[in-house]
Amino acid sequence: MQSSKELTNNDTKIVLAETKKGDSFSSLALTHLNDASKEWMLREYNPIDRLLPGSIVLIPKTDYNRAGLYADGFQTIPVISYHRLTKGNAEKLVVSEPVFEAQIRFLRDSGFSPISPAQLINFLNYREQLPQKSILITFNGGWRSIYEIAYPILKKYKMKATLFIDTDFIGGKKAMSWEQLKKMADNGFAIGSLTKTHRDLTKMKKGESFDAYFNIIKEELTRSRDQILEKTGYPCSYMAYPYGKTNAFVSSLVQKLGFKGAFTLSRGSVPFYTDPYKINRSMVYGSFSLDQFRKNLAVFKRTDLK
Amino acid sequence: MVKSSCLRFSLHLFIILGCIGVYHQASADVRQEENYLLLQTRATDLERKGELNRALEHLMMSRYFSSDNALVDEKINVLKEKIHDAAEKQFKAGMTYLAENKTANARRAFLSALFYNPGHRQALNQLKSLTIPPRFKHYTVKKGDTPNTIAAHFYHDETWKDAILFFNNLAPGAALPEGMTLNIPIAGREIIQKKSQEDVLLSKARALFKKGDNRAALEAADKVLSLDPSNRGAGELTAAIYLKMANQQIEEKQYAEAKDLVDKVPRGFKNRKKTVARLDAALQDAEIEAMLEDAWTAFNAGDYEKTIHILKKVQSISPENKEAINLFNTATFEYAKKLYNEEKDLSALAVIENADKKYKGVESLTQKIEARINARAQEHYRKGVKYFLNENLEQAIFHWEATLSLNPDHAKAGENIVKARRLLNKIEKIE
Repeated sequence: MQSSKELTNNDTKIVLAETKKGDSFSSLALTHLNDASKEWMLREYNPIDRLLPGSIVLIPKTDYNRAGLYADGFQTIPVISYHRLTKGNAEKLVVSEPVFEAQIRFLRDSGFSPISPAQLINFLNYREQLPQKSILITFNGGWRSIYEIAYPILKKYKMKATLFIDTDFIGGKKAMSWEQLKKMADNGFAIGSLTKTHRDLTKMKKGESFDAYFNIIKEELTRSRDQILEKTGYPCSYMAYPYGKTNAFVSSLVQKLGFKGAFTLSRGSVPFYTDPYKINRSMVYGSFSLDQFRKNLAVFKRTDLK
Repeated sequence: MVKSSCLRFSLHLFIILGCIGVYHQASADVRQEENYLLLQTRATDLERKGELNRALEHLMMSRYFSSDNALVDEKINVLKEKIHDAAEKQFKAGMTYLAENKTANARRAFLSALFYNPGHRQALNQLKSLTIPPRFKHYTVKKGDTPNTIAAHFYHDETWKDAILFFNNLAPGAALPEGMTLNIPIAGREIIQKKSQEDVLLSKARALFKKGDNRAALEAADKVLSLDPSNRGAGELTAAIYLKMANQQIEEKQYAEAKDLVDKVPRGFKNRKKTVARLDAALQDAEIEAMLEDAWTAFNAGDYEKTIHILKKVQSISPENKEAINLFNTATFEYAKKLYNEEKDLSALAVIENADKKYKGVESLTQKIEARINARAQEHYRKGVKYFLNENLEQAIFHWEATLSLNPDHAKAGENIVKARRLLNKIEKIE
C-alpha cells in the first residue's frame, strides 16, 4: 500500500492503493474510508470487476460524483411507498405478505442499497453521493401490519425503511403503538410526519376563514413533529403530504417550520435537482406483478451529457 | 588460511547481495512501468467513454509511475483544458436555451456543464431554479403599510396578516419599517377566497376576446397588468390577442403590422412559431408576386434578357412556381427567336437550350437554329477546301477554324487545319 500517492481534482481527494492477498473492496473501504459499507464508492469508481493481489485501486476519499452524472445520463433514486400489508388477500392499497417478501427479496438480490431520507435530502442538496442503486422505502400511515408483517421481512433482508405517521392514528385499534414505533426507530428506521390527523393541507374547509385554516395546518405539522420527538426520542425532519397533495403555500410553510424535505405521491424516480419539498414517491399497489414493481425502480435516466 | 576463507566468503556474499539488489531494482522498475501503462490504459478507456474527469484522475495518478513527467503533464493539461472548455460551452448553451424558453434543452446543457465541472455553482443554481418554483414574491414596505393593508393588497383578505408576519419572523403587532423587504408567500386559488379587482378585469378581458373584440380585450388585459405586472393570466391573454391580431393582419396582407404584433408575443408562446412561419411564407409569396409583375413588364416591353434574369431569381426561391416556369419558357423561346432572326445563331442556341424541350415551338426552333449553324459550317468548310486547292493556306485555315467554331465536332476541318499548318511550316523552312 502506497498511501503517499494522492491527488486532488475538483475537491475530490484520491489516493492510490496496491492490493495485497485477501484485500476486497470492503476491506479497502474500511482501511481508507473507515467504513466498510462504503465499498460501493471504490467499486463504482474503478473500472475493474475483481481485485487480484497487486491490483492498482484508486480510492476516492471524498464524494466524487454527488449528482450521479455520467457521460450517458444521470442517476435517479426510486422512492417507493407502501400503505398496509395483509396475511390475507391483497387490495388496491394492501399488499399481501408473500408479494411484499418477494419484492424486498428482489431489491436485495438486485443489489439495491436502502437509504434514509436524510441521505436522500443530502443528495438533493448536492451534499452527498449515493450508491448507483439506491432506494428509499417508505410506508404511509402507522398501520399495525407494518410492524407485524413488513418489519420482520425487512430485518430478514437487512433493509431499512421510513414510516410516515399521522400521529392521532397511533395507538388505535389497527395502528401501531408508540412502543412499536420506538423499537423500529431504535433499529434504524426513520419516522416522519404525515401530519396530526391526515387532513388535506391544500384545502380550506367550507366556511373556514384563512387565519383559522392557517393555524390549523400549522398545528397539524408542528404537533405531529413534536409528538414524534417526544415519544420516540428521535427528531422528525421529514414529512409526507396527506394524499400526496401540496401547493406553493403549503410547501413554503413546511419549509418555514424547519422540515428538511417533504414527499408527494407522484410517480417517478428522483434526480438530484428535484425540489426537496416535492419529492416523488411511487405507491406500490397490492395488484402489482414483479414486473410492474420493477417499472417503479428506475435508477438511471439515459441522456447524452457529452 | 581461516582469514583467507573468511575473506572469500565475504566476497561471495557481497556479490550475491549485489545481484539480489540489482534484481530487485529491475523488478521494481518493471512494476513501475506496468502500473504506469495500466493507469494510462484505464485513462484512455475512460476518456473514450466520455468520463473525462475520471480519465484525468487516472492520468494524474500515472504521473507517480512515469519516467517522463513532461509527456504526462502535457496530456494532463490538454485534458484539463478540454474539460474546462466543454463545461463553459455547455453552460453558455444552457443560458441561450433558457433565453429561448427551451427548458428541457437548457436543463440537459446545465447537467452537462455540471458533469464536466462538478464545482460549477452557476450551472447548479440554474438547474435548481428550473425545477424549484419561486415560493415568494418580494414586497418593499411603503409609508403607511400595515400587515392588514399588505394582506388586503396581495390576498384581498386581511386575515392573511398573521401568515405574512409568520413568514417574515415578525411578532404579532410588530411595526413594519419603511423600506423593509417582505417575503409574500405565493398562494393558489384554492386558498384565496375573494376575487380581486384584477380577477374581475381578467374575466372581462377573456370574455371580450372570446367575442372577438380584440381591441377591448387588450385594453382590459392591459389594465390588469398595470395593477399587477406579474399577472400570468393577463400576460398570456395579451400574447394570445396579439397573435390573433397578427394572423388577421397576415390575411389582410398587412405584413409590417403583422410583424410588429408577432414581435410583442414572447418567444416560446403557444402557436407563435406557427404564426412566424405563416408570416415568413406570406412575405415570400409577396416577394415572388412582385418579381413576377416585374418579369411581365419586362416581357411585354420585349426585354427578354431582363425577364429571364428576374425569373431565375424567382425559381431560386420557389422552383415549383408554375407561372414563373411558363413565363420563363415563353421568354426564352422569344429571345432565342429574336437572336435567330438577327442571325446570332450560336447565342440563339445557347439561349434555347435553357428552355423546356417540351414547350411549344422549342424543339422546332432548336432544329432550325442547328440546321442553319451546320449549313454555315459546311459553307466555311467548302470555302476552306477551295482556298486550299488554290494554295491559299492562311485563308483555308481561317475558314476551317470558322467551321470548327460553328461545329466543334467537324472532324475533317480539324484534320485539314493540321495538314495546312504542317505545309505552311515546310514552306517557311524552304524559304
